[in-house]
Amino acid sequence: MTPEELNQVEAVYERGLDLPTSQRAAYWQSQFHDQPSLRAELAAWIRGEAAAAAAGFLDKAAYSVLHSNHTGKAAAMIGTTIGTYEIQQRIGAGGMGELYLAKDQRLGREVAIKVLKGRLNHDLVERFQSEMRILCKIEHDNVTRLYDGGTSGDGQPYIVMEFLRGFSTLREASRATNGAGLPLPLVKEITRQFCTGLAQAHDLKIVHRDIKPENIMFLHNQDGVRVKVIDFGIAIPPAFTATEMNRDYLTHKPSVFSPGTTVYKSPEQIANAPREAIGATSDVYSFALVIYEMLTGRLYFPDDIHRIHEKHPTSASALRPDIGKQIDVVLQRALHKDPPQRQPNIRALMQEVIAALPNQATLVGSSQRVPSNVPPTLPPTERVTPNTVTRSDLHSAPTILDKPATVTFKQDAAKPVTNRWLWPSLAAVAFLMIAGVLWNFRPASSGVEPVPAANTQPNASAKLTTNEASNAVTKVGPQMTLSTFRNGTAVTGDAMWRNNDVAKFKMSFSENGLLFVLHHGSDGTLSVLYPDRNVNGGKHDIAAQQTIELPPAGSTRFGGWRLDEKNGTETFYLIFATATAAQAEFMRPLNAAIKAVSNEPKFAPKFAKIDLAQFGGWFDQLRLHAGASHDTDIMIREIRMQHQP
Amino acid sequence: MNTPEPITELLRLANSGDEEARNRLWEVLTPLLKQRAHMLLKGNNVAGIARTSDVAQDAILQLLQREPMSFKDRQHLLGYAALAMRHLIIDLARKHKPGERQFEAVDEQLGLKLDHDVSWIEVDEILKVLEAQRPQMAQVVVLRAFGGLTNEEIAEVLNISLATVKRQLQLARARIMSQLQRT
Repeated sequence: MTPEELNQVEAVYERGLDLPTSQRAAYWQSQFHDQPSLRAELAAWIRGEAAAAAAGFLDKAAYSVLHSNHTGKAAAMIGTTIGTYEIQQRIGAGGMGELYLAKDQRLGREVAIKVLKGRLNHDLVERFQSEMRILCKIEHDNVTRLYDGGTSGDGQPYIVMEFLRGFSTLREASRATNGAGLPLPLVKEITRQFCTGLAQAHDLKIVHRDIKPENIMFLHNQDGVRVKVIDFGIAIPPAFTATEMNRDYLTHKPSVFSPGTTVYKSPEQIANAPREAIGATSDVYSFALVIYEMLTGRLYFPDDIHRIHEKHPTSASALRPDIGKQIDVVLQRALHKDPPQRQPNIRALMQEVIAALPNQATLVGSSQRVPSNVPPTLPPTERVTPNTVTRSDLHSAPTILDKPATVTFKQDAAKPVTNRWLWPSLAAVAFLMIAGVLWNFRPASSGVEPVPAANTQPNASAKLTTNEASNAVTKVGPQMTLSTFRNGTAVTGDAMWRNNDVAKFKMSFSENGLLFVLHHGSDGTLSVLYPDRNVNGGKHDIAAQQTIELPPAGSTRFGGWRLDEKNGTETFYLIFATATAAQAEFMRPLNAAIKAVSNEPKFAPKFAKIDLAQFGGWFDQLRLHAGASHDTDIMIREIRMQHQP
Repeated sequence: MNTPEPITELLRLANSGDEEARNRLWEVLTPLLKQRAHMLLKGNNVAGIARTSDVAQDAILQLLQREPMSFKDRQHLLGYAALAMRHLIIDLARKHKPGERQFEAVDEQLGLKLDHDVSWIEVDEILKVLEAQRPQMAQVVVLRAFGGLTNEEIAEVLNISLATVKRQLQLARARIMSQLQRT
């Protein structure tokens, strides 16, 4: 693209901006018919704007000044001591707290010390400490040793752990295979070490609850492979839900950005089953998802929508025939929705997995598919010894071991949905919706090529041919047309919202269904705006093509929802579900909240609140779905309004 | 160099295109920005996340206390502060090793946390091209992304209309993001 061509595109793009939003799409679409490269560039700009709107790109600075309690404190901690541990360096932060490298002055060894954040009441501190006492009992080579823990001078609980110098996470290792999957000897060895470590915890009645590739550390050197399980979720007092922590910590960023928070959770965890109901079989489920990913380089559930509908994703052997079909049976059992139907414990899973996977030796010389990065020569008699795997067993995975995965803004187009790209794709949709423009993806009979403006695939590449675009159409579920009004006037996506502005939506759907509207306020509370029991008898049925006005006329004092008078961001979630989908387990918290409201003897002027402490995980999931749902009968759309004076 | 040059003089020289004066200005500004950010953090008066430009503006205030400065100079200084922040932020982004577990690009001394959703190093590269093709657009982007200035402040610093600022930002968003998505 020469600067002149860029200028041409810019001029057309800008002329579009000057038009009323209702005409923009048509105008842009009418341009550059005979100049495919300029047309593609224009489409890229439109997509770019959608992604930019989602990421808030250039709405704010590249950085934020941290809360004084966080970094100010973190910086101040360097050089201080907690107990006998001298804090030397901050090595990271997670949802739970700051992680430091420290020196145990008594024993002269390096340790990792995690100082938990958040306010803890007396009960929770007690509980935390009693759980730590249990954790200290796990002594296994494959579990990060917990050395010590307590409460610092200013009341913050801390835990002292083994420092894993040189380790990286399984997430990085599997990413580095570029979707090919790890070599079988390595998969087996990781499974063996992981499961024996976890089994010891299970013997002590300790359930991990948060098994995911990020929590499996991995070191390879001339001595072989070492696997360490980290971050036992049990160390977090249950009241400290992920949502609470994320909200507190990632103040300016919703937790939708923390990858994999719900992807590896078992159905019973997602359903917010009581803590007692989350047993060792929950860990079996989660680790089965990890095994699938190690083998195929892909997530089992490409997105949470598949999970909600219990669609069965592609079997592992279909993606990688050289592993044989037996493993599918093992994984299917481990991923059974009903915990008692799974392998009774993690050892059983380990034995079945190792037995099911063929010995790599049998594959040498066969014409079956091996990951493309595997050199043709494998040791003829591969043998996994009980304790280590030798380097020669593993040299077939050079990328894993020598090259750390780099995580940047770009994403491999072939990869399944990643959260980073969920956000732009969501925005792609939200932007168009807010703009009141719904691109018609269906190839027009007139032969007009659709500009692929709202590419809902997590595809960083700008290439999307007409064919691909029309394939995307067939996947789109219910369609929504939406206009947004600010103080009674229709506005575009980039409208500035002011405090005390009154917001109103008008929408219609292509199908019959049920509508729910949630509001996530700047204050962090989640309320149900619709159904409203004062309107339509509290019903939320919507007929196809019926125009819905929200809030319904006459239901509010201001003729709409008035934004807060303080600066903030209001987020609205429009959830449209077909009648069947509304009964899905995923909708349970929503149905429960609505039921609770309708049961109240007197309707309170305030909206029904959803208790995030109880349903926080569910809400994270809901946000993950926003904009990502296609091929489904639940549609979730997110609309954000940033407002200031 | 022991004798501190008057800031106003440095500004004048920098504005007239004196590269060395520009560099000196950054040298003066950078530690000041760090120091101010740090003090902001230490102080108890910061509730939640401070506005980003507070860091730069606070530094400017300190400079203003040191020597009287014309309104115009103050505006220029905001612009230079944004450039200094760009250097700091890109340095920070480069230091950030993505492979490191749970590592966040946080500058402890500065008390700044980098926005992870955008590859700022790539933005920096794109900006270098944009500076040649669309200097004003590039300036607006730098003032917003690295200076944290509001639309109104940008209009003031660049002496352009508010509508122009908004339009330049709109165009820049689409243009830069479309490139980021392709790289």
